[in-house]
Amino acid sequence: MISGNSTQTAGPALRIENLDKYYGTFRALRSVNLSVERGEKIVVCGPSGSGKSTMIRCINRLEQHNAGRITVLGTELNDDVGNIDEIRREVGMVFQHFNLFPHMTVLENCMLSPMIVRRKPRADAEATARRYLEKVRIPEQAMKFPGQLSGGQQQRVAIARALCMQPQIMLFDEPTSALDPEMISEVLDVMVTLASEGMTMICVTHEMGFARRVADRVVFMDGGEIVEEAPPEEFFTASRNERTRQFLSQVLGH
Amino acid sequence: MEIVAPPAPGKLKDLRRRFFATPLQAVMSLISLAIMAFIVWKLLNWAVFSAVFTTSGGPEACQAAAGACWSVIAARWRIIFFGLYPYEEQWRSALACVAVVVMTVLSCIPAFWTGRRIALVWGVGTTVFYVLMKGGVLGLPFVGEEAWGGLALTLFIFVTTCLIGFPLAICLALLRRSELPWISRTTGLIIDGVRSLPLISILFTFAIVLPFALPQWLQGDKLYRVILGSALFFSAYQAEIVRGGMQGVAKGQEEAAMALGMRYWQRIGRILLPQAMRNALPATINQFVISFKETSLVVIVGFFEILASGNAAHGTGEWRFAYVEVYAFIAFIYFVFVFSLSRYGAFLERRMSVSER
Repeated sequence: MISGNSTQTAGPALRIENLDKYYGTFRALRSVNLSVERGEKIVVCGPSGSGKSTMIRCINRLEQHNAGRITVLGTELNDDVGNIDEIRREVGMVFQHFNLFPHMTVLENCMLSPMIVRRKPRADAEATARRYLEKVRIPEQAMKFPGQLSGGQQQRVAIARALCMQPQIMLFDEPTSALDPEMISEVLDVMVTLASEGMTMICVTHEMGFARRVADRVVFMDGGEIVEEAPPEEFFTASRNERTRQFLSQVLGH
Repeated sequence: MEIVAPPAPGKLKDLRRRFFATPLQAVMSLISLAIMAFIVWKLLNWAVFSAVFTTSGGPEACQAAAGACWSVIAARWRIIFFGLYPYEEQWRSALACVAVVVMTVLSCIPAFWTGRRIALVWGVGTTVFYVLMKGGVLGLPFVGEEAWGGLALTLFIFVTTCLIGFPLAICLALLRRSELPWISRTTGLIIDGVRSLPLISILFTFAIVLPFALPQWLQGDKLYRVILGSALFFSAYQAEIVRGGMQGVAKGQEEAAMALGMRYWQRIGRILLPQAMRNALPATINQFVISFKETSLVVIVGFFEILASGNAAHGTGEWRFAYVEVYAFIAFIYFVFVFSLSRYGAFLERRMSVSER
């Protein structure tokens, strides 16, 4: 592997054990446990403030957890900067508000990190970037700046940018929540394609259609804890949990 | 069907609408026009038509004339540009000015904005300036810093103040946003401390008080101490400008860079600073302009920068009456530099706004 890292190729992609996270005295995560196999697609849902974003932001250390263990691809996430760097190289992330770099073209957005973090030669980085832009179906926008694109196009660039690092796990933090309704499907289509190619994905989203179609497991969070974890057909039709049923009736109810 | 935009009103029609819409407005417009014409005519008459341009008649010819006495510039331009620099060596001072200007212009061109090129430009530029001005090598007679003066000194102080002050400002701004409270508070205290002192007191301290506190080998020439002082002053203000620019960068930008595996300096250099400097550009140009004009304060610690040299040009003997012309000339030189700086700022803003459409 180019980065010469020591991440294992066997074992679960991600293991979260007894994770606690506090903001001041507010307990945002309560002893969360989650294990994700390689190639698995997990959809995380739950009411706002339930801790779902906090949880996936802990996985690549955008938030620091206070207790418990996170092991990503066999590497434990702790204060070791080397481990954090290694995990961030292997974990891609897509944000609600895209967070593209506005002072660079689409192509430069996609090439920067492979060049300065993975130390890829420019020509390689450009070829990879163009390949992934093709994959998210906007190769013709490569020389434009993010501000010239629509929301849906920007989010697809953000996905391509993350993929250019050739990560083993992709995290999606409400990728369609900031989009106009007519642009949601173009982003979801790209995510469905990615899922069908075997990417390990953890998606925080309220798109229940996407969950039904793609997820291997749906995780429902409320009040900072995982309330229920089930395959989609069981989750949507046969949930035994009162809070889950109430949430589902709210998001599916009309 | 093609829809055509309504035609823009003609120039003449527009003029009539803006200035001659009502009789009263027409009268006011005409009166203002007359006043302006009078002022312009008076000024032109003084500066051009009745002015004396040659030195052939000496000061006496000037005093007899009704207009401006530009002969003082013709007679004394060397003092204004070069100060007390030895007469035979003044070509060196002129070349040194050219070197500084070339260096500045080159570093303003985007093609030179890579670490190696900018370092080369600055390294060569300052070396050429220093060797030319100071001499003592290559068969050039030695000229001490106390004899430097005029435009060369003004440019040298300004450019070195910025070259030292700007990186220092970025460091201070980064330290101030540190997550460690004792670092950010200390930096804040330093910035606020320097900002609450007048520049004159800082210059005095560095020029006169510092030598008592420092060992001989650390003192350096007074000129370099003064430059350090003015760089410190510059950096305290510029640090706050840079910090303001950083606050305008969305928080998600750094998170995205982190998620892509970039290290601290990569995030700062590639993501945060380019965007912060773009936000801070108008205020930064402002700060440069102020600093350029503030170089005239070094006269109080005994340096003959361009304004002080101008005083010397009209202050001695027969040209004593022609101070207005000398000040007008110096104002023109300041204008050339500061106006170029402003236009360059406007160019940068246009260039950067391409990505914000």
